[in-house]
Amino acid sequence: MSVETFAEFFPLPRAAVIERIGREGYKKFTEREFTKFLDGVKALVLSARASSDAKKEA
Amino acid sequence: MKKFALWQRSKDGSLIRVEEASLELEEDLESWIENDPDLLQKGLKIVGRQLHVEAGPLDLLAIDPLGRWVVIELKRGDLDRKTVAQALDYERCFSALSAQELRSKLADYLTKHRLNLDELLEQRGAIESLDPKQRQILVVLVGAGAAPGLEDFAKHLYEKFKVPISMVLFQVFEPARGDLLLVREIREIETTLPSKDELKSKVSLSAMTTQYGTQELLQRAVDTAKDLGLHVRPWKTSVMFAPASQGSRCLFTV
Repeated sequence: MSVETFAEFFPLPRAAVIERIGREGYKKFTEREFTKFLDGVKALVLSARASSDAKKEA
Repeated sequence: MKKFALWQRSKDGSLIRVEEASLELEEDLESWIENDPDLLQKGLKIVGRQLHVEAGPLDLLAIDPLGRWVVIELKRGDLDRKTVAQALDYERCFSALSAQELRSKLADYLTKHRLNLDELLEQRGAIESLDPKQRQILVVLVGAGAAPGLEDFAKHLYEKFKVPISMVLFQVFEPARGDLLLVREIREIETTLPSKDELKSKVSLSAMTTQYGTQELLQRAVDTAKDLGLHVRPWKTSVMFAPASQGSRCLFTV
């Protein structure tokens, strides 16, 4: 998982990415942790889009 | 590359243009990349430098986060068709190395840098890539610019021979005070159609997820990514999730 790529493309502060989906690197997940990770990805992408839309409107 | 111009704001508020320097020191660039492979791509691990193959010395050899081997060819000036041909020749020789030959050629470098090839490949889910038939190879060309039409040429080669070629271009600036500044541009060939390898990979991936009982989890990841409009790209034993605008940049891999 690459924090940098998330932060670059969405764009988001690195701290926000880490808070949602954890630190950079390789991870071994349980099913529960993996679900939480996917929820984090979803939340990150949606919040980045919402913020981008708000900027456009402003 | 797109030509950039830089200005530096001084303390009194005036702007001073930063002079462009030439990217002549190929050896320096090689060392910079060796010491910080993130210059090319996040998560790249260098496993060989000036590696001798039948076609000559391969500048740098790396393994990417998806466990694919990366043949890196550096050019002092602009990249041209000869650079591409040379890199493909290296790629051809490298792809033919047996597991034993590969281990033997990398042994000195790995020992010197305290790297364990098996651990590295295991971690990236690519231990099978020691087998030349299972090896996935990318070519990365590094230079100061690219000859006109080179991207189309690389795309054509990808469509014909299924060897993905990327170009990383650097422009160097030398401020009056301070260290050199490097500007990087990455040009990647978009591979929109699934290659034969990718189609085969879906089969082996499906077998693997069935074996480990992770099919449903993987499907959940794919569905989530599709809902979010992310790019989903299957490899032999993994699936890469990338931004929609750049299908070769890895957000995460499962």
